Amino acid sequence: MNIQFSQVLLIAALLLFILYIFRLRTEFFDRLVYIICALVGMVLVIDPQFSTQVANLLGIGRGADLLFYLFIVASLFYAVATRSRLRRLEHQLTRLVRQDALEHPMEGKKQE
Amino acid sequence: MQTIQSSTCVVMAAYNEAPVIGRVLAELCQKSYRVVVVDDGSSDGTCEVALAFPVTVLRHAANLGQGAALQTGITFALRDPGVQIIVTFDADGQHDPEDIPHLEEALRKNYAAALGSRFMTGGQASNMPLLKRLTLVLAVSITRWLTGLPLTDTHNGLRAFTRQAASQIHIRQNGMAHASEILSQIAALKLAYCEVPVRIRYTDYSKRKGQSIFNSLNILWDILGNKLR
Repeated sequence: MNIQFSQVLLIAALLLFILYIFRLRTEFFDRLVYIICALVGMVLVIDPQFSTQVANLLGIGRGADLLFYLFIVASLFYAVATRSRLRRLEHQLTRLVRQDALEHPMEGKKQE
Repeated sequence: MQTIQSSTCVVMAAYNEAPVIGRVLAELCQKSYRVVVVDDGSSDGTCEVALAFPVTVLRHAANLGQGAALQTGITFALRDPGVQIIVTFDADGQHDPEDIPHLEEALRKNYAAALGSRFMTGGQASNMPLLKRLTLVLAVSITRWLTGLPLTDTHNGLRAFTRQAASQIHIRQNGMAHASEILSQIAALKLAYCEVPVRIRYTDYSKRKGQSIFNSLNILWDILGNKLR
């Protein structure tokens, strides 16, 4: 089996990703998911035929297509999760800012 | 001169309106209304200008948007048990304080909400740019469809609510989509509402400061996002 330069680069990138994940103080479950993704990624890089075999089992022609579909689904989940998180943050910010404003009313000058 | 304070409280949301808010407040403060100005995190001294008038100023530490500022002002106004009517009024000088008595009059006829309209008979929209008119016509028809309320003007910042109606309405749309949100809630709460003709003055300032045509797409996006939530 001869190793392509691109494989070396991709494996290095995934290793860096794992290192990065360990440095972040992410929650255990999140970390587990990221690392499993990275490990699966490495398997796919080392054995490109593997993804095609899985794809064929599911009735998809090429491994690259299968990965693309999975990528779309994962992105959707990510987008929705991020959006709801932003909304929650916005609600919290609104509550805080409003409470602060209501607690400190300022009276303007009384006019003669 | 000691004036008897009216039981009407005018709530004004202001974001960077320092150049005009003084003129607007000078005109408004000739009446005996209580006035609450919510400075929505302005950076141009809007707060200081407003404090030169006999008004109460609430300051948002960060800019949240007009919907959020109105809700803050309404919540504050309701804390005063003497307040019976709450009026929302734009800070950019496009509304006419002379229209407020007409809104109050409508509430006395047992309506829970009186909504200003520049398009109904007797209303006025002087110097309205054509493109603005076309966008509004579209916005009115979309909002009519979304809320089911047969209104002639859906994006008018001049409105009045009875104390009870104001305490039932909760604005959650921090941005400009609050205009449609208020109408949706009026429909959902089955509040008795009416439209009242009002005059909108389009000055160079308000035209520059007002909503751009393109922003209406963002507003529509907010409304649809809220429906999906």
